Amino acid sequence: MTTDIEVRDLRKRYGPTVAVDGLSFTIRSGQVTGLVGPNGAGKSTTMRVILGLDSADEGTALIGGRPYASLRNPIRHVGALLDAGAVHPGRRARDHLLWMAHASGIPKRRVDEVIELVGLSSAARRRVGGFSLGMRQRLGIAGALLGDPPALIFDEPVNGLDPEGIRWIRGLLRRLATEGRAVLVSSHLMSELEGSADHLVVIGRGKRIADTSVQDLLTAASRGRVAVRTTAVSEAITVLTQEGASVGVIDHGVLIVTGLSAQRAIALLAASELPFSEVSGYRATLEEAYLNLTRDAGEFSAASPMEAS
Amino acid sequence: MTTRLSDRATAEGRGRAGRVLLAEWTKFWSVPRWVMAMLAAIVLTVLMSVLSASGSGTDENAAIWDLYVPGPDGRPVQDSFHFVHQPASGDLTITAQVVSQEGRALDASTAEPEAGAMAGLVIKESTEAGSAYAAIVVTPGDGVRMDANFETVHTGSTEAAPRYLRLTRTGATITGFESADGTRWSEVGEVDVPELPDTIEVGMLVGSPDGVVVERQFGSTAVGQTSTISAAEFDNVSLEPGRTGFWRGNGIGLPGVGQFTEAQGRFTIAGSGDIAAYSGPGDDVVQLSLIGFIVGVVVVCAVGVLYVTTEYKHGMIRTSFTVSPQRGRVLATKAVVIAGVAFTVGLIAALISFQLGQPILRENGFAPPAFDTMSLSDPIVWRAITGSALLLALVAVLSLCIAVITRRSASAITLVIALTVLPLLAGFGLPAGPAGWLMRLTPAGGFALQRVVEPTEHLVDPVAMIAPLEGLVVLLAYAAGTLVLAGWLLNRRDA
Repeated sequence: MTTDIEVRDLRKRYGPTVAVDGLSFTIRSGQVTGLVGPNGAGKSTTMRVILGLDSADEGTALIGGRPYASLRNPIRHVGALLDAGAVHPGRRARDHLLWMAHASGIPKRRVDEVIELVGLSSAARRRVGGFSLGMRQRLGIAGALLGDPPALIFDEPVNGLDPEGIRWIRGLLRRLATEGRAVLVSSHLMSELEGSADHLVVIGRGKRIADTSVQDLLTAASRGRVAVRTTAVSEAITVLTQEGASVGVIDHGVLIVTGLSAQRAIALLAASELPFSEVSGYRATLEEAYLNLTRDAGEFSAASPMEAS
Repeated sequence: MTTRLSDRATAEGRGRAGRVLLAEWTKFWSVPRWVMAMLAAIVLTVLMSVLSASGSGTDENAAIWDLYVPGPDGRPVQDSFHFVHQPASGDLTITAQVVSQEGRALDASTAEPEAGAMAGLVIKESTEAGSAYAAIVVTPGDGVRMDANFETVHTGSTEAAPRYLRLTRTGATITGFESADGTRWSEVGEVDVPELPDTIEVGMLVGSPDGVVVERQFGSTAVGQTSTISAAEFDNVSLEPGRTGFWRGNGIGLPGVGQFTEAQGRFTIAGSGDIAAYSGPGDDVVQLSLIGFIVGVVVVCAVGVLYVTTEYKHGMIRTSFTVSPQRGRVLATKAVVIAGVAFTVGLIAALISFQLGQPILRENGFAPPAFDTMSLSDPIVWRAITGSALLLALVAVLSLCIAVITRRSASAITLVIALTVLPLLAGFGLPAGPAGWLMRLTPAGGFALQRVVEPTEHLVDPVAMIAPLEGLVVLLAYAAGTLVLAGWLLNRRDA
């Protein structure tokens, strides 16, 4: 059962506001794909259209080649966490999963299994009204996993989680991808996806800005740059710029050199008898790569919280 | 993830509709507040029914024998008319032509006879008011009919006078005929009156029921009566086999009222009064023990609305529609669940209310002979009890659908209350005609499902003016109409 999620030329407008504007991308099995953009970029709208909740004005969103609404027992094809608060506060956690299981013909033992999987066993018979946001996130994730689906969609799953929870969810995302599932995770913070996403779809104002593997993105952002750690900062800058390199200082005693190979930099520093403790290829962070991208797109700032989604 | 879900493993022998039903039922019972509210609906309904029964009273029985006489079966009847008669034995046939009818009120003159004024032929056990009889009469309003022992047993043509009428007695069987010309006869029907002795009183009757004036004020009705008198001319009177005894005139039930004259075989008879079973003031003893449903309806409405609006409020409707993308099916299933719960609540509340309320009402004067003793062995009581349950079920569906349409608790609850409870209050203050139409046009008419007595305009209660079936139709129409609209909107709108 291969279940790629395919979005083609998707357009969705709410009154005068264009939420999604001709968006196309594919979510592949065995990968964690990050859907990244600031709040209001159209991430949640795209996910709602994929799940058949909102109807697209134009374009299609298909799961394994079929629209969501035509799936038999859809939560066994795609599991989704849209909003961790979407539970009646008077209901017990287990009962919330139980009705979902009933509707999809999933046996009760699977309910207890996913509760255990997300670490809610001790709270399973408590009413959701008393849950912290982190616990609700876990319950929502349990609901997404209930049907053991080959594709999963998580909208901002890291929200409200403590550092331990964040680590847990990163591990979970990796594991789900390793099991061969297609995983789509949205976030308005690129750093949240560091270390978990394999692929990125970056959107802004409903349009696609980038659709790239994390590897390629980082390589592009790091390309040709060398990090040099030295105690003689100004002398090193002089020597290196004389050879045509551009040099930036990012930290006390760390220079980022563009336009020279690592060997050439070592040779120059050694020839001038300047001390250095480390010369290595520079590795950009995902956040940095993202900022480069969005600066090029010139449309929005990733740092500002902006409109609510 | 140890449980591998295969299609086979998850089929579990249930159809899709059945699984969605189980899911929606789980959603309902897993919110304790809703379950408590439905239990509270039972308690509150019973409590208010009992309180209301304790507070009701009537002195109908105290005055009943002043106005009514015991009929052949002992139940109160009105039996007053002018009777021009003679005794006769064995099988016989009496024939006469009612030539004309006219009438007026006793205290004022009106040229028109009351629509119910009667002129016709009667075979009666004796001249005692309340004795057994069979009669054929013609009325200006309803044409020809045959009555026996204070009930109409057959209806004939709708022709008014002039009309030929005939009664034939063969043993205990009386057969009625009518004719336009006295030669071509058609049978109206036959009836057995076993109470009739061999020697009976046979002859002509003229009666004219009281005019009824109903005055409505907010919260009360006053039923006034005006006596009327009617005069009819009879011709071609014959009594077979060949006896023409001496005709005597008697005011049955109303001694001294009415008169007759005879000239060349032509009789002019004036009479007043009615021949009818006691119909009471229209109070419905079964409905009176189920008054608390007005509270039950409000509680069920609130739960029906919240069953939907909490899903919108918390965003859970999206989870519901990702689990079951067929939104129409989700709506229909919700309707089945809430209707089933409300029906059960209604059934239990009606049974307890009825059982507790009846003895209280009997103690407060709603007792025989003016009021029949009602019990669970009467099928009509079960009609009212299941009708009450149906009322709650349909109000629940209506609430659910209006909640889907508005998506807001406050507006949905307000709208349902405005449609189902407000018209009842407004109806108290309206004249009978508009009050009746208000019941026929709003789901409030559904309360008529709790009634077992014929519709009447003599009561304050606007629901009393329409038949249970009319109430059911209007309530069903609202529930079905909003269901269709809600389904259409669900599929059209983004979740």
